[in-house]
Amino acid sequence: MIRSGSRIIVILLAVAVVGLCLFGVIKLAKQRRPHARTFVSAPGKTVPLDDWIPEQALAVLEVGGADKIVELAFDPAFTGEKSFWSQWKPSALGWTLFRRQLEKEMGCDYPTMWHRLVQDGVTVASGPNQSFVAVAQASDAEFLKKLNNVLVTATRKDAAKKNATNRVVEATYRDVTYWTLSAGAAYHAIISNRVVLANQLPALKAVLDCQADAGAGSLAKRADYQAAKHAAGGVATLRVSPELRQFLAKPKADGAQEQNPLAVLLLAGYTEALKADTGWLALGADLQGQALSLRVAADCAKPKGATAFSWPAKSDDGAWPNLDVPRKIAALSLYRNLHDFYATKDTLFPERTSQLIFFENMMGIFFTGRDLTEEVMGAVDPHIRVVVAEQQYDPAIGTPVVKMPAFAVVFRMKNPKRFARISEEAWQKAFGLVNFTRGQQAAAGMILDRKDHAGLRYTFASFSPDDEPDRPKLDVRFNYSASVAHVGEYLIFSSTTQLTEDLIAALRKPAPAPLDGVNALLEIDGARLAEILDLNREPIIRGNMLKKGQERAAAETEHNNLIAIARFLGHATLNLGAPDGKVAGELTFNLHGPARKQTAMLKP
Amino acid sequence: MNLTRREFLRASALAAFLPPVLCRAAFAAGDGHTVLVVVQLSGGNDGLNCVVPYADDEYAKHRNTLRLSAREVLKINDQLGFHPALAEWKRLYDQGLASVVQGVGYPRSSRGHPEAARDWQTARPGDVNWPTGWVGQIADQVCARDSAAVPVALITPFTHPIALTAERAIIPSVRKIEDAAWPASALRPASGNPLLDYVHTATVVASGHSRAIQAAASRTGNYPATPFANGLRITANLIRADVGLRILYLELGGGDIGGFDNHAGQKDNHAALLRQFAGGVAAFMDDLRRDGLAERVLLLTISEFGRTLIENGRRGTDHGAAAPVFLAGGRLKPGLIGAHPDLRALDNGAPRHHTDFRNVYATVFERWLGLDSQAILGEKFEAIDLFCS
Amino acid sequence: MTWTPHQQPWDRTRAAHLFRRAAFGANQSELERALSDGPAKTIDRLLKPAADVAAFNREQDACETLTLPELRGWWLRRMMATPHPLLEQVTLFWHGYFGVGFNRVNHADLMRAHVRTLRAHALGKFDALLGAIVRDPAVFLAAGGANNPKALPNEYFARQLLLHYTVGDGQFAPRDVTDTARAFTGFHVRGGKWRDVPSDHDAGPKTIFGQTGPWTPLDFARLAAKQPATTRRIVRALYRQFISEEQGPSDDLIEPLARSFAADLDIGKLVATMLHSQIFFSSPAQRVKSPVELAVGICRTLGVTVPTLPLGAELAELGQDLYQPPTLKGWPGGRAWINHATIIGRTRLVTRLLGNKKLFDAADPASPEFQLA
Repeated sequence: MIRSGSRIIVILLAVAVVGLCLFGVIKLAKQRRPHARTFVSAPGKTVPLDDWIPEQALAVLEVGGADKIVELAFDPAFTGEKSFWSQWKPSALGWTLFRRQLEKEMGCDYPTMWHRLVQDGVTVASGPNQSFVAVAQASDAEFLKKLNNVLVTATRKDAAKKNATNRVVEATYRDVTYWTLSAGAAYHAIISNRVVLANQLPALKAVLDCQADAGAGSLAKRADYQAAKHAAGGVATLRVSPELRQFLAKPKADGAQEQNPLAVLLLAGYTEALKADTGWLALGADLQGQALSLRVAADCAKPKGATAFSWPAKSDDGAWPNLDVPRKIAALSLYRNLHDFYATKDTLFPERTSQLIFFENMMGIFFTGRDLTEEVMGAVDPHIRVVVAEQQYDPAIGTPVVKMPAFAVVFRMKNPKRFARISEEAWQKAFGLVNFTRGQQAAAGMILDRKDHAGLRYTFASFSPDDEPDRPKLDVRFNYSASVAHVGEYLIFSSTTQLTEDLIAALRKPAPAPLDGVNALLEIDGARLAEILDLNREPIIRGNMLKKGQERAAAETEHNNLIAIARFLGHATLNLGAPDGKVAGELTFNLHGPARKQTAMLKP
Repeated sequence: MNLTRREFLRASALAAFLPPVLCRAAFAAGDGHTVLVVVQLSGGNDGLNCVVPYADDEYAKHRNTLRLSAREVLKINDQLGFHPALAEWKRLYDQGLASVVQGVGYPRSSRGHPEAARDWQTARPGDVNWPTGWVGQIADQVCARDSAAVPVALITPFTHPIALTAERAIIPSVRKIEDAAWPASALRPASGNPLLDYVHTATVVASGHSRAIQAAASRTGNYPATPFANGLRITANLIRADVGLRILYLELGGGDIGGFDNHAGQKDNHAALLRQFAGGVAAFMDDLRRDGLAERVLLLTISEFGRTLIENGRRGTDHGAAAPVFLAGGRLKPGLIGAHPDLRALDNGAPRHHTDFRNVYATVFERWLGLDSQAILGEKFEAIDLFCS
Repeated sequence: MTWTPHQQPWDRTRAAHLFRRAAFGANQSELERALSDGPAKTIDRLLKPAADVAAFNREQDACETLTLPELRGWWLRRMMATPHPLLEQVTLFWHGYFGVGFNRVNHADLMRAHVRTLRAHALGKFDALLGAIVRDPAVFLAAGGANNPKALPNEYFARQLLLHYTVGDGQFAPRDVTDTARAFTGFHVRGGKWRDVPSDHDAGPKTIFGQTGPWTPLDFARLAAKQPATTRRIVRALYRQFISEEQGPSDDLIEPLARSFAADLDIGKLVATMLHSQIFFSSPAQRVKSPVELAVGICRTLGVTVPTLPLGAELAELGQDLYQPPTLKGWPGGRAWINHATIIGRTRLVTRLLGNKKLFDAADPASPEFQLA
């Protein structure tokens, strides 16, 4: 028989166990209520919000440095009276009043509100059926709650005034309250210090599902998305899903592929790489001080096959740094193996258009029947450089009304002794033909001559201004004094003698080291570009009036905006290639600033 | 709108008993009439490398880099063979759906692109002032009877060819089949204003046509992915829709001076063009045959001149004179028509013609389109035997 | 029905009809003003607007470049913005009348100069216009008159001048052809420039239209302009342009106008007489709008400017390629504008230009009525 004392102990034990169980149940129940949590970010780090983005997302924009974007957006350059954005700002009085009211109730100004709203990051994603969701992590839950209350109350009042009964709707899904303030045009929900916005109810519900299921069915669990995460920007990254890429890359119905040989020469390598890459495509943006950089990284190696001509064959080879000349507007340095390019033309551009055949006929004449692929294209090596520079006009000759920049192409000859003579002959034939044709049309011809410069003799063709009555207002042809020059192993074709002489000086400097893995380097000086646009405003504006049917005032505004953007973007550098074997590109703007020193491409 | 096969056969059987004049009238009016598809090979096609006299020593002697050997050509007989890129064309040829008229040209050609192209397209060689093209003249003839008719269309244009210059008729260009889409229009009673009624009737007929064209486009066949083949696809759809088009005009070689003008590096470029040509025409004929339309269609190539026998040292050839004319269709007398020009009796380095292109035109105008050729050509040219009965 | 000024009540319909025929179309305010001003004053203002037309045209001239698509675009823009639309209507009429096209001329600068010449004389004196025409290199190139050597007078060119530009078919004798050709000897067009070579000119006596003298091209113009056959042709052509394309007018109807036109050769006055007349106002929906009239009409009525570079190409597809009439006979017009293909293109053009705007003017844009003026 159990003594009565043990019976009491058993009862006490039972009560204790039940009590513990009850306690445990209550504690668990409390944990299941998510609005009790707060999401915390480590200082200076962006919180990944992809555990809330459904995995069917087609494109995802992750913005980490939201504070920088907010600063940029509210920069006086953008928000001022005569700024670029002023044409789109809502100017209604109602909006201004509402904004003031909001600031009063929230106790901080409008830009700060935005800053706090997206402080720890925001991610926007687009999904099937034209749905969009956005998830933002704000500074704190209280702020969000207050902001939400203010907006909901204000909208309810406004809706009541206008008798729009369906405008504000409040409902619950999986223990989360959500609202629409626009009768279903957009939905939003608040969980602790995160806010979710969606343009369709199913999309909102999908996000809430991810949230409630601790990230199941979200991008956080999608392997290929996580694999692409290493290719991030700093401020923002856009990732495009394989599904969307496939859809965008679908060939057109009438089988039209890019047939322009020049476009194929420049771009075929990249389009081939993008087609081969089957993962998420990442495009990142970063803002460091005055430098805005955009990066794209494809998760694929440089392709072989027909487009191999555009990739450096050897691992430490690549395009050379750009040439430096006074008043440079733009410069392009390429690595393109012209021989291999033209040898695969049947695959790359099968159309035999009138222009292509005419080009080949002319080259056949200029190069005296030599095989175009083997003996002409094959005579230069893949390092090609192009320069565009502003001209300074000689007052003794005069100034044209339309001011065109000077441009030049520089090749490196494989066999300088032989090809220098061949190319000289070809150039002379070409300009002789131009002269002859101009004569047939009763247009003024050029004089071909040679001159010495810095110990080098080169040939040029220029127009004589002797018969011109109006020297400060010459015809556009006086922009050109075409020339050909050979500097050691370099071959220069230029549109002005001034640029030729500047290039002779530049090419006499020691040979540059190639930029590892880069196959295209483009630099544009925004300020100088803006100057050229400004100098030629009249013809450009007239052309716009005709092409777009604008009135003069509108065309002038557009032109001024273009100039302002060019000035704002400052110096731009585009770097494309395959460093480390993976195809990538970087576009950098040195906002408002002068040229940056050329560096190798930043590794992703 | 379409005649059934039996009706058509009955009509043609009847036509065989009618005197020629009435026969022509039956051709010109009503549905189910014949269609001419003109393919302009811009630049001057090198006929010697299309229909190759591979066994001739003169050919081997003068074509150093462009020579096609007996092994490479697709043999027609023991003297001549087709360029290997014309494999699809050879298939049509063997099926009796294609023929070649050899040695076509005209006297005293200047051998310059604009002049020779003008000569072939106005059919008035040497007359620099002739204002209209032969296709335009035919369009004008039809429009004189019915202002609202559209007997000619230009498919996927590059430059506007002189052949289509007309005094009155407005010839539409068709780039996509969707261009012809138009919603249905209901008929209204006559308003008493004849001009208004004319416009209204034209609208109703046009919308009827557009529905026929959209329906025809849904039954299109398989074509290679080249712009030329796409143009032929549009052509086949327009023929299938049976909206009264009699002549459809296409260009290969990109207009302007032309892609066939191979003065340098001819080998690969010419081969690429011939491959596009053969692939497109073969797909076109297969598409038509599927719907039993091949007997109503004749495809004719024109090119401003042939090219020289002797190469010019730049792996290309220069402007010549005579060249073959290619025909495709369901009612052709198959095979080679006319002898291959004698390579030992050249005319300034190029083969001499024995058939004037206007004889070919006269045949097509009279025996295919049922028109009075003398009115268009200005003189009487004898027809040649191109069609089977 | 005569050429006396019309006396019927002046209402919105008649005012709209006047503007459609003489000014491409009218916007709301122009129509209101016309209603209050009455027909006589409105027509006078259409012929001589108050605005500084010369300054406007000079400004437009400065914009014109030398590529054909751009010239086309600039002319369309000019038509849409001009304070003198009747001038542009009549310039376009003369462009079709002389049928000088870039396809024969091949020099854009000559074509540009040619249309400017037409504009300068469009509503002026016909003998001045014809005088400018016989010295216009574009005309020489278009009508086969690039070469006129003394040794072989260019009878083809002379025939074109007589047949298409002046007296017309059956109104000249073989002698007129040979002697007109001799009058033009020594005048050539080389490299796009007109050249006068006195040593190559046949200075002997020529008999043209029964008048003998040492005629030069300007004399030919003077003689031809005065011929009754010429004046009757011009009157008929303008009748077709402004009144009706459906039936040709009878000789009796034309005669009084032809006689008064022959007296002073004043084109402006002739046009004014036509516009004021009873016949003009009793002929609605008797002509088909040309593609240019269709497009420019809508743009002027709505007061919008559209991109004219692509519009020029679109109108060319519809059969009216500015600066390129197909032959010397110009654009036949009338029912020839409408066929089963162009009616689709025209209705599409109208729908696109209107967007979702409504025209206050009567007809429904998708209806056949809209295609007529």
